Amino acid sequence: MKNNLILLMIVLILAVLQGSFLSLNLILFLVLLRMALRPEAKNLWLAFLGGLILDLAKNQTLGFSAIVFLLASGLIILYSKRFEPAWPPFLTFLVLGTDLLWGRWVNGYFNWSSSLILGFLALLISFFWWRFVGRSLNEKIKLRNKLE
Amino acid sequence: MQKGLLIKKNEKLLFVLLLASVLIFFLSHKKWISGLESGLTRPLSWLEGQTLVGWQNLQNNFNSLGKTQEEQKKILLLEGRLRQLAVEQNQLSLCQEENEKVKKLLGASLPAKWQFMEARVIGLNEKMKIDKGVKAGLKPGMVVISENILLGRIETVNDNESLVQMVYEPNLKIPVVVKRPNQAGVQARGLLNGQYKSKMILDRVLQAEDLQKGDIVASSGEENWLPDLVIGQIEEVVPKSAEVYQKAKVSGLLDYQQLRIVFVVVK
Repeated sequence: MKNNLILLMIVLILAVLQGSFLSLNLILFLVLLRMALRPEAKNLWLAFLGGLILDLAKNQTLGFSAIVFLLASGLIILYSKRFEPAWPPFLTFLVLGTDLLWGRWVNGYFNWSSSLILGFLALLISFFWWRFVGRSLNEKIKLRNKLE
Repeated sequence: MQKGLLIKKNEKLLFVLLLASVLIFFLSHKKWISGLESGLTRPLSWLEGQTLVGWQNLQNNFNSLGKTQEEQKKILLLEGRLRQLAVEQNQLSLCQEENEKVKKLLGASLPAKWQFMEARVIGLNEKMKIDKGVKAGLKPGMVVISENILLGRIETVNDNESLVQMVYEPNLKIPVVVKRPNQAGVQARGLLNGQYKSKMILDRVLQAEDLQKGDIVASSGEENWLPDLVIGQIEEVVPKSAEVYQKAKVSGLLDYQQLRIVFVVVK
C-alpha cells in the first residue's frame, strides 16, 4: 500500500513536470520500464492511472494516454509469453515507438529528439538490468526452485 | 505454471482497463465529462503554473551566473530595446506603406482595432498552456501575442485553459512577408516553417527576391492569421542553389521559455 502511494506520488510529480516544462514523457517511460522489468498486475493500474493523470496535466482528451500505455503494456505481456521482455533491444524499440506515436497524436508531429533520449535511457537501464540484476534474480529463483 | 497464471490474470485486467479507458476517452471526446475534468485540472494547473515560474527563475539564475547585476540589467534592457525596435520598424514600414496608399485612395479603411485578453502561461513545452479558456470567451484559432510579437494561435480550448500552437512547431506553416528595416514595402513573400526549439525556416521565397540578414519576418495575414505581426528576424540566408525557391534561417525575437504573461487577440 505504502509503495503504491509512493508510486502514485511519483506519477503526480512527473505529470506536473510534464505539464509545465518537461518535454520527455517520463510517465510512459516509467510505466513501460516497470511492466517489462516487473510484470505485475499493479503495473497495469499504473498505466491506467498514469495515463489519466497525464491527460489531465497536458489538457488532452481524457483516456487517450491510458489507451496508449495499456496497449504498449499489452504488447509486453504478449512478448513475455515466449521471450524475456527486459531484453534491451525490445524495450528500447518499444519505448521509442510508443513515444513517437504518442507524440504524433498529441503534438501533431514526431518529436524525434525526446523519443530518442527516452529510447537511449531505456537501452541503458534494460542493459544494466539484463546484465546484472535480472541475471542474479534468475539465478536466485533457480536456486530456490532447486532447494524446494 | 505461475508465470502462465500471472499472464492470464494480467490479460483479463488489461482488457477491463482498456475498455474503461476507451469509455472515458469517448465521454471526454463528446465533452460529457468536461465539468469533472475542469474540476480535476484546476489544482494540477495551479501546481504547473508554480512549477513553471520556479523553473524559469532557476534558468534565469543559471544564466546570470558569473554576471554582475549591472551587466544583467544591461542585457535585459538591450534585449527589450531590440524587440521594441523590430516592432517599431515593422509599424514604421507599415505606416509608410499605408501613407502611400492613403495618398492615392483617400478614405481607405484603417485596420480594425483589436481587443486583447491577458493570460498567464502555466505550461510551456511543445505547446504553450494558458490559464484562460471557454469561460473567458476564447475560441480555437485566436491569435496569441506578446509585446506585439506573434507567438501562435489557440488550438484547443477547455473550460479554464487553452493550448496554444506555437510558431516554432514543426507542423506549422505560416504565410509571411519579409520587410527590410528603414524601407517601405515588402521585400519578399514566403512560408515560415517551424523547427524544434524556437528556430524557424523561411521557405518558398523566389530566387529573384532579395533576402538579407536582419530582415524582419511578419505575418502576411493569409490563412486566418492576423496581418503584420512580427515573428522573427532573418539570422542567416541559405546560400543560393539551383532550386526554384531560396531559404533562410529565422530566429524568434523572444525567449519563448521565459514567457509568463501573453495576450490573446479576442477581436
